[in-house]
Amino acid sequence: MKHFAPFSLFFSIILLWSCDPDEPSPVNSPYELSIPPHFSQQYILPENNSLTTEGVKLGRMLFYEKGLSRDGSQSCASCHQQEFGFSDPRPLSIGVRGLTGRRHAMALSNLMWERRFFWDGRAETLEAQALLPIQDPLEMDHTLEGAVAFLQGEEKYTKQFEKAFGTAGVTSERIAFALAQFQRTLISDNSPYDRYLRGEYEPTDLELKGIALFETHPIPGVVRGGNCGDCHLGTLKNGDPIGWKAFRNNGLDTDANRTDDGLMEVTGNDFDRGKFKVPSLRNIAVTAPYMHDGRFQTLEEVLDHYNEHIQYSQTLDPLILEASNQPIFSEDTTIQLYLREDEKQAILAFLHMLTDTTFLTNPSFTNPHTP
Amino acid sequence: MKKYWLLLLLPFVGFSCDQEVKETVPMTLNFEFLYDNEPLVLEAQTYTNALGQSITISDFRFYLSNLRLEGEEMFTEKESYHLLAYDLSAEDSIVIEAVPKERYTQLTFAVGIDPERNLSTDNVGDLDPNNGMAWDWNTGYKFLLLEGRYLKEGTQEEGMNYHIGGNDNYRVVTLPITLEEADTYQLKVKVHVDKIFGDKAEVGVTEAERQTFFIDFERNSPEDTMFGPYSQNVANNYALMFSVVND
Repeated sequence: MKHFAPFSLFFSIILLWSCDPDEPSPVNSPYELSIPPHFSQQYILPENNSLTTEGVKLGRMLFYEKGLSRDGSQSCASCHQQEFGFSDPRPLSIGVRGLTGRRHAMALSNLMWERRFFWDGRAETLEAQALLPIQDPLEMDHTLEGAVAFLQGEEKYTKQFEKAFGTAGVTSERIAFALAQFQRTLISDNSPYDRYLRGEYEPTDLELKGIALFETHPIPGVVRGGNCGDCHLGTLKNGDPIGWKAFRNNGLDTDANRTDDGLMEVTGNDFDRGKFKVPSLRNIAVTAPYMHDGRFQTLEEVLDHYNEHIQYSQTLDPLILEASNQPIFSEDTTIQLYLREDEKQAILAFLHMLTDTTFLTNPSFTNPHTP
Repeated sequence: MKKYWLLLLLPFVGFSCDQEVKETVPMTLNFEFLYDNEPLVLEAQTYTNALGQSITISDFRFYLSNLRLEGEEMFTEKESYHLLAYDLSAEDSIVIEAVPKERYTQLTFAVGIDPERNLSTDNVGDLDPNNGMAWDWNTGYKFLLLEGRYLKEGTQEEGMNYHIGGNDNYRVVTLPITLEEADTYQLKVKVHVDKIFGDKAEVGVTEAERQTFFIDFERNSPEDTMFGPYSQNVANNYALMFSVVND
């Protein structure tokens, strides 16, 4: 194999050279997506929905299109607001006719590195995800036929669908494809943490201490840890790519008090009761409130939860059940991390390093429609 | 001045050399994760160790690296870092595109990441700090991860997190195989997860005569399940958890 490589390279250069000037690209062209070198190289970019400049442009128009909701009051961006990391400052999002949704709107970024979508993982792809809020009675409450009919009545859309997909026609599949394309461009890679990883930013001592605590699983008497990094992984600080491991029970409720079964609603597996998607922590400081039901208003409350308010239940994650900075004695039935106040402050300092103002103000992601 | 144009001939030189290289064929290693010789079941199944203590398992994965085949000739896979995981099923596989068509009698690989690569940030093979097998950039990779619960009698269950790593826990495994020259090679590697805690067939054998060490779940403190000296007993055991047959 190796011996053939220089030959084929040589050959393909000639091919490219001779063919390139004839390449027809009058309307559409591939969208140049730059993959941050310090991110995982295992991302999902479906072959049947390659990004194009016109497809991304259409997706952005649709993302901000209130006509996709039944009463014309809601777009995706109503609950996924750029300044809040494409999340919603309300604990539970408000849909058409003022109806209250069931869960907090998830923040959106680096979605090519996510394996499943929604807090309960019910969509396997961004394409599958895109059409569900349009039809959810508590969100946009429209029908796909209705959404398609609306877009067909708007000349800017009939033209843009043709530019994006090469042939005329508005279909629900194309709506999903375009929305997925736009959302894949939402890459957040310029936070102080990214710049630290690229060697462009020198963290403060507090931030460095926070990074170390975040990544460390505590060993009592040996090393202190915040026990965050086993679930919020690597450079992306998102959930685990393997199997269903991006879904975990983080001790919010006892079995008796729980009102939302999370992943179990999708898998039907009793052992998935109370498991929810481990969210990416990128831009976490601006995506309050927190958890699937938005129950915590501040990051301080979130840390207090993990440190001293874990509720035991049958599916509580073993990584939480076991971890502590103090030896666990069998008479101690509470589950606590025993972090000190200064350690919580350090972890908070690190979490603030994940705020990417370039992303939050990127003009390529704003509302393209003239008001 | 310098004859750069000669570089243009290089591809053809490479091309002609290839004629002498032995034909290569693909090889598939199919892995089965077993507990007590049955496919591993996550969470829903209670398992016991050699000491009769009960656990459930919720996650299992390990790094297999530096894969080598030996016979008359030796084949060493380049950049050989494979993550094997219970990813929706108790099976996983490794495909090697081009293995010289030879007879092979021995399969060698390691559990873990060699010291040269362990602290490197290069994403080579399946090495990727985003896949749940990295601690951080100073500590290297978890070689083997096994999470679950210790169902301790008469008390609340405990979390059980074996995250074995550190250079002292890198283990090389050598297994006899019989591969005749063929157009495709296929091996089934059985991973006997139960042996990580000691071989139950050795119950009744004195501790000094046992090949495996009986892991005591009372020693599930993170010091014993990550780097500490006790973790080397686990590493010695996982070096013995494999068996291989032609598939």
